[in-house]
Amino acid sequence: MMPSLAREWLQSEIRASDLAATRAGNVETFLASRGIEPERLERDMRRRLGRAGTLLLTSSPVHGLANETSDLDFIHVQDDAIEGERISTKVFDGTHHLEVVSFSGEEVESAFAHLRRLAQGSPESIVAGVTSWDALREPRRKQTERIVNGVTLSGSAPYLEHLGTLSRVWACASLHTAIEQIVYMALAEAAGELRGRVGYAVNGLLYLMDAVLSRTGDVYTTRKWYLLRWNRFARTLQQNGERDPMVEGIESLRDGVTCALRGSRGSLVLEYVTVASAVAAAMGGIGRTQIELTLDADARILPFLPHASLRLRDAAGALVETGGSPQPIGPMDLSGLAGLGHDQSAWLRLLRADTARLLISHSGAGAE
Amino acid sequence: MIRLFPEIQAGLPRDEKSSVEQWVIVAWLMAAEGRAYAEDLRGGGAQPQMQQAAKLRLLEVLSDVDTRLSGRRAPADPHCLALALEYGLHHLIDASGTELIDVFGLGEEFGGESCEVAGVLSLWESLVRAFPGVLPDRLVAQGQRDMLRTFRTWADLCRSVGLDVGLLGRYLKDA
Repeated sequence: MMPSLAREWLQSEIRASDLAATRAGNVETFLASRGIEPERLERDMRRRLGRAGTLLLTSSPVHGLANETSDLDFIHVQDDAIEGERISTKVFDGTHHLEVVSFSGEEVESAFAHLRRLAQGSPESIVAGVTSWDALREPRRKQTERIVNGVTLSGSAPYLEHLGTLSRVWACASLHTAIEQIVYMALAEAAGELRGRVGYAVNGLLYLMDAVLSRTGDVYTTRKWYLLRWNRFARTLQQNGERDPMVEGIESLRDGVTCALRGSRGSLVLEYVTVASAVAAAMGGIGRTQIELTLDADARILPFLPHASLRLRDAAGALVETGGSPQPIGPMDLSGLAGLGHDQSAWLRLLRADTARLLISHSGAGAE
Repeated sequence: MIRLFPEIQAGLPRDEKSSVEQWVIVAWLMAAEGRAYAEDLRGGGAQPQMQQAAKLRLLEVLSDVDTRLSGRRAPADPHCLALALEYGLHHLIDASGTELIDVFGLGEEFGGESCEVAGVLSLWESLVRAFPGVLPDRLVAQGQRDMLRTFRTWADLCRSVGLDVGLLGRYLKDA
């Protein structure tokens, strides 16, 4: 179904050496634009942090995206152990706004080992591992991505060898989030929420873009950059005269957002499901995606009035239900979302009130 | 003209613990996340696609703040944008979904080569001016001292109603 071109982008080995040179160039250009001499900045940072360890410039300057108000975000990987919560420290260097957070080398290696384990697992275990990451380990997932992509002030990228693993895990997690948003979009459409569905559609689209970008090795967690990174990617393909139906599918969804927000579009579900399925197929290792909606087993349902009850959970999730609980949904393929009726739209309220669960599974999937 | 902070103007009584907790979190979200996205809008003139995404993120933050000001639990992040567009905001500002689309300039081509930011920046600046008290600006050097002083005040405030200012921990890490 997918053309070979997309498969080549998404499944080719990421050339770390080429990327390291590009990123070193991005950092050099950025520092020059700010009138910052790298050696002087290194000396100043070392005075604060000590001589040992690896000091990495991260985030937008590395990706060639920094603008006049961008911060200089550093991560310091030190030899000694660190106790307690890690919160960034702000430093002001003249008009420049710097932030730095430190991790021990052992923590960083542990994060990379976790990343490798996740990359070898099923899509479900990748998503579960990414979802629980921040509650269980330092550095957090965003900071792990920053470390992998980080560049020293002398222009080396010491952790870029982990980009291939990071790419696989991040792409899978982004695709999962995109599918979640598309399910919410379908339910919102069934509920007659014509503007609300576009809120979900826009985020679903952004995560589809990020899934593709991440799988090509352009991994950068911050959502505000997804659309610009995508634009850069799509324009480059266009300038090179390369065409691909999957990219054109995402571009077509992008073109449709404004009309949808004006309410002048019919159902969005089928086109989003088609493009999401194409991205999943092209990424490989995802398998057949199915969704299921289940009621939260912990919720209590108490009678309120004839034909109405209260659904309570954790003393906080209260929801008035009329006409009883909605019919269960799934397991079903994504294409089944196009057939949702108004009766099933109640699931959206249950999900928002945290009294139902959306399960996304990928049968027949495995590590690539 | 969009009405600002109807929740304050209405003067409705609230449980003291939840009042302290919600106002401290709201002030932090405005000072940290809201201000950062406003900064992105000001500094990203040559990056319209980033500005468009930053506008959506700012609307999600304001939607979260709006729900907290109502005294309810904030919805999970995936729902904030859809809820704002469909049902509007009613506690931070009083604006319908269509008014928000106008103010945030969301009618432009998504991913196109321009981004309208005047309306949303004007709204943001009005919200900062009308906020009950002066929000510290952690993006400038002087703001660091103001932020530390504010944390000390919030620690006392939380303690006075039996709360721990550590409730801000996860929000600080997210910033």
